[in-house]
Amino acid sequence: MALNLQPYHLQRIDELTYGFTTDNGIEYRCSFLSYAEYFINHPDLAPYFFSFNLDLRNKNTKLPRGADKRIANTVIIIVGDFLMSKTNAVVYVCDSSDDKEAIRSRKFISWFDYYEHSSSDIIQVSNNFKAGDMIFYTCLLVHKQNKRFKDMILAYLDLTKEENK
Amino acid sequence: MPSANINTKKAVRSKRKSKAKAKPMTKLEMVQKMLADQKIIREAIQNGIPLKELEKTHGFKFATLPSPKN
Repeated sequence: MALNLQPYHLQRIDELTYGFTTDNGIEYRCSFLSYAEYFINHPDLAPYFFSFNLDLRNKNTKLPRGADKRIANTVIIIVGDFLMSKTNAVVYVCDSSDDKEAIRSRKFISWFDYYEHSSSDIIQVSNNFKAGDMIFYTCLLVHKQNKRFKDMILAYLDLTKEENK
Repeated sequence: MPSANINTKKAVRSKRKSKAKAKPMTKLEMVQKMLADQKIIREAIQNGIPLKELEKTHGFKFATLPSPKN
């Protein structure tokens, strides 16, 4: 039997939220939060920066072992469509609350690397930086045809550069 | 009108004052805020609170999403 790699059926929960349910019955919610407040040094670009949030609908969900590649494909579709505006950019900051931020970062980056063919219109830049005693894992996604993609990459690198001590 | 003019000047002065007082976030504070906001969103989703509510209570601004193509 051929492996099904089709993205999951997307539902618009409300005007700010998408949702999908995996084959294992796990529900996810996705949204894009404005990051304009972090780009005050780049006021002309600031309104076009968003974070991508992917959250489990239920707190006590037990995730099955093994990768579900359909989740990756679904996320690529969601983020890819969002970037199709060719004005927006997405910053992904890995949650560090459970000390799994490095794994999470590798996974997110691999989604856009692995599916090179489908994400060939998207540029991915990742920059991990140290602040305090912690390393933060981040990446930027922007459409290649975004007229300001170079400025956006520079603004992102400016945002995520380490502070001088 | 002179009184309106004075009020405008006062408003501008106070805006400048508050801007001057605003201290830029350190990188650590910035990422801590990003992660704290993620947590607020996650908890809202798990508690069935619409994100529209967070726009009112936390001043968040979310992108409006079109209907998915599927």
